[in-house]
Amino acid sequence: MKQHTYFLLLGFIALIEVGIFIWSVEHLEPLVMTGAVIIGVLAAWIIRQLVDEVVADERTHLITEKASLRTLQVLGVILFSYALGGAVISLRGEVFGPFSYQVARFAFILMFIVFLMIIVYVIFLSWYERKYGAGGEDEE
Amino acid sequence: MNENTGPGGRMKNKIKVFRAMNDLTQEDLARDVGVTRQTILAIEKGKYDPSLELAFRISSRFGVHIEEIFTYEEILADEKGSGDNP
Repeated sequence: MKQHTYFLLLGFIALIEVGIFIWSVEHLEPLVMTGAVIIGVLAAWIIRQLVDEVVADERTHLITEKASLRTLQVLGVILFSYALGGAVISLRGEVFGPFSYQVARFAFILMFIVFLMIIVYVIFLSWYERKYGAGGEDEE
Repeated sequence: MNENTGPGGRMKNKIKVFRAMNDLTQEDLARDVGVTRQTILAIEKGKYDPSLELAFRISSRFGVHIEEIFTYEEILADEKGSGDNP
């Protein structure tokens, strides 16, 4: 499969996702939308495997790695600071500017997501450290 | 010849020269060694240092030893402080 065919199919998947999103909103079916996203991502991944031309190489992997790490660092700090601010409002139980008590409670969910993100990061870190030979005993 | 600065030295390569000698385009070389054309361009410009494996694949494609295409030069301390980097 050619690279442009892959991008065309990606566009087609995106259109289907938009259609499912509209349908889900109209029929109040959040699970359908969630499932559609997962299936869509899987479909995109499978199609990508069928591309003959080189889509990604070591340089693109390096760029993706660096961009992902920076994104994780920046978003981690932003989300965690926002979550802590929300937790302060939530614990005090008062209205603070446009933030109501109920809205601020969302901060706890956000904090949970941030911690989940850190846990997933540490798991992957450990996985790759093992994979690339870090750790173990010195042979000297 | 292109160059790329690292912590203690710089990588240089002669890919462009060897491509010209072998009458190859960046696209041809990229296809032969299994990378994108942008990667070959980045290596030639000295913006990206290839992995050891890719460096070997490139030199193998031209049928020469790796050190004939890729060289590493140490930067002396006084050269480092001469305003090469911001």
